[in-house]
Amino acid sequence: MRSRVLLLAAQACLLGLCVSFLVVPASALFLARYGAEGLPFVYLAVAVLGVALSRGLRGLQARLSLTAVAVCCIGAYVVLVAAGWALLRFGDQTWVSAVLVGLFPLAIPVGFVLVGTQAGRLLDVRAMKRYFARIVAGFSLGFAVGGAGAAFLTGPLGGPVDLLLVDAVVGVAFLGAAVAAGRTFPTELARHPEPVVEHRNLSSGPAPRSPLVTVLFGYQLLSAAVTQLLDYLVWERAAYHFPDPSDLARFQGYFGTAINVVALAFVFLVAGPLLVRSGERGGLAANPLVVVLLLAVSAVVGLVSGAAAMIFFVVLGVQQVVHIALTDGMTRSAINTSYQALEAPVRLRAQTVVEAAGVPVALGFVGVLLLVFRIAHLDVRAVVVVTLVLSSAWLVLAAASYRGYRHGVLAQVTARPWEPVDLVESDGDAVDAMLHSDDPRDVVLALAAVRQGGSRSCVELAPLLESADPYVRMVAVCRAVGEGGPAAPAGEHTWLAAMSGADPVVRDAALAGCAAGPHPWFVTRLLDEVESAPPSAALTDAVRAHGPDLAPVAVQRLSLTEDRQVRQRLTRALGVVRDDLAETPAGLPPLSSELDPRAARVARALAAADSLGSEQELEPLRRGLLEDVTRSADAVAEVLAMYHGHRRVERVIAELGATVGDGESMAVELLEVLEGRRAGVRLAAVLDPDLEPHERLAVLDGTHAPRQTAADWVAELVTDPDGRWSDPWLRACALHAAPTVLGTAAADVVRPWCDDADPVVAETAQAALGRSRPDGGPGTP
Amino acid sequence: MLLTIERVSALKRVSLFERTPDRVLAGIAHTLEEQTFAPGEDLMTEGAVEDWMFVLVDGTVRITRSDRAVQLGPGEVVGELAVLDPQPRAGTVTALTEVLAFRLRKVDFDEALRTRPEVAAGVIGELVERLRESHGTGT
Repeated sequence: MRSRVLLLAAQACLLGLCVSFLVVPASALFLARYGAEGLPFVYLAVAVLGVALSRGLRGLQARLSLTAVAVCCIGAYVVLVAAGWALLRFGDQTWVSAVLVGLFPLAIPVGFVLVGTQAGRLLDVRAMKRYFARIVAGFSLGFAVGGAGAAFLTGPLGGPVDLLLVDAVVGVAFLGAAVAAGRTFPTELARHPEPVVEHRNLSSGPAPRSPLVTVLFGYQLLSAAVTQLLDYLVWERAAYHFPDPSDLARFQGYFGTAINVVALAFVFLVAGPLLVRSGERGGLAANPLVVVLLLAVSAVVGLVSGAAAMIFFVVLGVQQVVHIALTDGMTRSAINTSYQALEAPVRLRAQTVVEAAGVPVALGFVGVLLLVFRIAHLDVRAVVVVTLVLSSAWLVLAAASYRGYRHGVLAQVTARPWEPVDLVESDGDAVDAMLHSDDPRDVVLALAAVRQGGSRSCVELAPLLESADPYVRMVAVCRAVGEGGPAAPAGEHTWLAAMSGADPVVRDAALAGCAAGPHPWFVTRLLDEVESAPPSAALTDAVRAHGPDLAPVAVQRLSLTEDRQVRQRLTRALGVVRDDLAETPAGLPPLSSELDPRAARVARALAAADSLGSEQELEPLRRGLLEDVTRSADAVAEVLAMYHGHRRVERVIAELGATVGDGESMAVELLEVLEGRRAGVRLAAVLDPDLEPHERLAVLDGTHAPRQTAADWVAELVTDPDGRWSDPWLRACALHAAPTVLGTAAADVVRPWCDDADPVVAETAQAALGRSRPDGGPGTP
Repeated sequence: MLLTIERVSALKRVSLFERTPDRVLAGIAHTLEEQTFAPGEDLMTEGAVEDWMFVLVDGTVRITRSDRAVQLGPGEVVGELAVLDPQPRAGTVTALTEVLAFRLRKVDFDEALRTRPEVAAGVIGELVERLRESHGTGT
């Protein structure tokens, strides 16, 4: 991971150096030749060129590897800068400065596309959140060093023109870094792109059509527009307060340094942990939220003290420093992380559209806006108000982006190769033929296809009610119940008799019947079955088929019972039902009420297992404790399924166990997105099927499992003084281990259990008592 | 007579049950019958129609069929096809040493199959193994 981050940060640093060695000479030459009045026109030109460049970049990405795209882009940049230098140095062609000034705002987003897309291949979603801010810090560092270096070299080089030659040399170094990254990670960066396949999935369509891409484009556009407007506010007021060009240049130098130093400090000291803690939602929303607040302050200060006041200028400067720090530290990482919610084939295209086209379009928009302000002779405070409005819209888009991200991660992690679908009455003749088939399986299938209330509901049931095949008979019975005609009461009686009968085949047939013909009459009966019988596939299907009617009744029953087994069974039924419901049923108990005690139990079981050592005699207890961990995981999964659906949770658990790709990382991210960071981390630690015990324990250590000796644990498991374990099997395992761990002292511990009502506990205690005696003879209770 | 916990440990060594949780095996353990066989005594006879299988806990047996003979030891099962589909036994199983075995009846095994997918997965694994053996391939 370290080498990946270093290679990416080196490229970001060289990008920062490149653009700083470009902007200093280009802006100085441009402003000297055309003045600030020319900038809006450059912005408009950049907008048009930027969109064209984005399109060209996407074309390259469709045909070339990431490394080859980087070589093309950086190579073209070097050629342009070198040609600009030659024209200025040998031809005195100052119009070139307009091209180079326009190249600056294009180079930054394209550079970040190159670095960001490489990061998308080299880092998974968790690493992205943790390290991307530091990679961006490379850019700030490069920009700061480059700015200072350009200022320092201007004198010795006899003017700004030759700085462009330095820029071309730095560009070659950037090119070398991109090639080195491709050679170091050829599988990720140097392979040719796969053809983009159109999927039905919402998040996987062509980039411009995906809702997430659209909203991210809007987010990035507003982000860039706000950055540009905040810049304009500072420079406009700086020009007012520092009318002398030398003073203005000095201020620019100090202010630029302040921005980059604060951004670097923020990135290294605060951004990573803050991003991990606040999650993707915080990463997307922090910047617009803070900017809205600061702009509100600026508006008030500007209104109260006037645009000419120094305090107004200071507030504008502070808000720009904070904004850039947040952009480098959080916004760039959050946006880059957002692309991980898109499927890999469209991720690259989406990132290019958003990054490479969003910024130029924003520049064009700001160019038009500034021209309008100038024509209307509006005060700078009007720009503050307009920027406040845009920032508010940016904040709204942050929320929308997060929703899209959440949806995308959910779709990516829980997508299955196929989904079960209901049979449909699509072919009338085929259904007719199947209804009259001699094969009972055909008849059952046809009856399932002919839904009640559908266009072909008038099936002749009488002969089917007499069928020798229990499945045909019970499907017909349930259909009769559902149709509510004169045959319904008899049907209800037959169904109840089947459910209470001894024949498991007929009982399964009765359940299959009501799964094929769901009706509210079955709901309470099914829930009675759920509460009293162990789960089975037939019962699950029947429960699933009654989802909308069954869910509220099941929630109500869950709230009324304290019986642990009944609660488990109702919980499982609600998880199954949730699969086909649009929303989580109302009135469910909070997830934490199950997760917190289960996480604590897992930590205790792992700590106890860890204390036992490797003695063969203790193997049953060790296995029992580890199985208890699995049982806790199953229980937590069932509760989680009530909120998000059984199938989804199964997929999440499968992805947590994924050993290839970034499935595990995405699954952890999804758990955090769904349940918040704290709960997400604990859920992952409990649910991950492949986590080693010590890794699981390390994450759950916050639940403070006591550090006890094996003897303490065995004594606790046998006596269970707090009723924490309440598990006869674990007690039996601990009783079996007691003589080995406690020696002769075990007798006092095991003796009270020799007459226990649980036969396994009693027989194990009696044997343990015998083994506890010094002579090893049979125990006497 | 073994303790339930010891029976569970013995079952855990059988590939058919190795992924089944101990507490489930504890339930199965209650249904087992412990049987001992002297050397030379038959556990099963070819052609007999029975609906149980044996889990070998201790000792060695020989399975004799018309086409071959194999030896099995602790942790192996014999006669498992009969609990899936009762048909005449395909071979005779004879104790070569003192043998301790658990007899598991079809009705109890069916209940485990019905309620525990990992038992079903174990059965599939065993059947695949037998298929490979009968085809003489390791693939």
